[in-house]
Amino acid sequence: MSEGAQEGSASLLARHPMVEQLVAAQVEIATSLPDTWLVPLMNAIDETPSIRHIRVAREEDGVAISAGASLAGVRAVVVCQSAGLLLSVNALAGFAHHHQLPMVLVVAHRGGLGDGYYYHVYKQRVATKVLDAVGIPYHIVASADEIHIVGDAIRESNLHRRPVAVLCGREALRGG
Amino acid sequence: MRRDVLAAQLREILPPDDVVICGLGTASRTWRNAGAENLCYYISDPMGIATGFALGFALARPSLDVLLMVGDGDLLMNLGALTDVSEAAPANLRVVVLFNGKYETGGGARLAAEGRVDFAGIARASSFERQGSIFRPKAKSDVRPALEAMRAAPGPGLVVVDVEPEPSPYAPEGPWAQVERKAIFQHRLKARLVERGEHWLDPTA
Repeated sequence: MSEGAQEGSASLLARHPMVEQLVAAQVEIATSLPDTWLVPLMNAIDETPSIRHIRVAREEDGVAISAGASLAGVRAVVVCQSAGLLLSVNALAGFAHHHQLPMVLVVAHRGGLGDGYYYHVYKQRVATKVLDAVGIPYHIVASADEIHIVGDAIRESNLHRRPVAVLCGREALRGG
Repeated sequence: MRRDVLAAQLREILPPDDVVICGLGTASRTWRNAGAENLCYYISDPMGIATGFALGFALARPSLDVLLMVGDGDLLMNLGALTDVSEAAPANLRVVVLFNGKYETGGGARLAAEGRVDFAGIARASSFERQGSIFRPKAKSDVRPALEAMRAAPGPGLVVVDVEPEPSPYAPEGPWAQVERKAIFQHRLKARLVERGEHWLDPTA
């Protein structure tokens, strides 16, 4: 990598501390399906040479790809909005309880206070209840100074051999 | 052609170091009955995630050649995953689709649009073939050459094979639960990778 690219990558990492968490945790694969809140993070992942970024057609595919990578001994994350988390529930439950394969989902937790879009509201109401129902641990990351939770969640996921969801607010996903 | 004939041909064609990943149901039982020595992971549930799962495995280990054996019902559940394969374009992933328009494990009920889904056409339309290969042999005598050509070419590759519907009830549960099979598979995979000098990241590292 050229010095210019290295400097560019370093500055992007500095601008997005969530990517720094992924790199420190040795994540090598990220799958994503966008939401407006996720674009800064996805762009920063694109600029991170140590992470292979795969766009997927459906968030459940990202869960499946992460599970396959996990079986192969490689760490992967899924970057998606809470709707994608909800539609992936059967896959997540299977990988949590049947296979016991770790992965972390970095989720844009839409529909909360100040989000302002009615069609997101139901997702905020049901997401955590659904995760509780299927036994997937989750953590809320509301602000930029809580981003370290992403790294903690990756460690938790690998220790437990199960998916873990990190439900992120807009400020956290912006990187502060 | 009969499933066991297809499996026997694949067993002869695949180098022993190829890793095989099988979707649930008939695909798994077919390969298990072939008695091949390849390292193999039988996905079991959930249905519909086989393509993405094999893709993730292949992307994680580009030094390994990976073959996914999947039933048409499993693949039909998530056709968009072929687009993901096209997006990632892994040179080490190849797919064999067992096509007969039936959910054999579930008693032989027919798939939606039974027998009319053109999986090869969908893969082609998804630009699967950017650097790989797609085959849809019609005659039994064309199947083996198609499998050989797919294996010889860089991936991603796809062969759709017509297989005769056969009774395929659930097999009795074996001695290992899925999580135990996973551990056995990972133990063998890690040993192979470490022997080759590849890095393996333990979960608690």
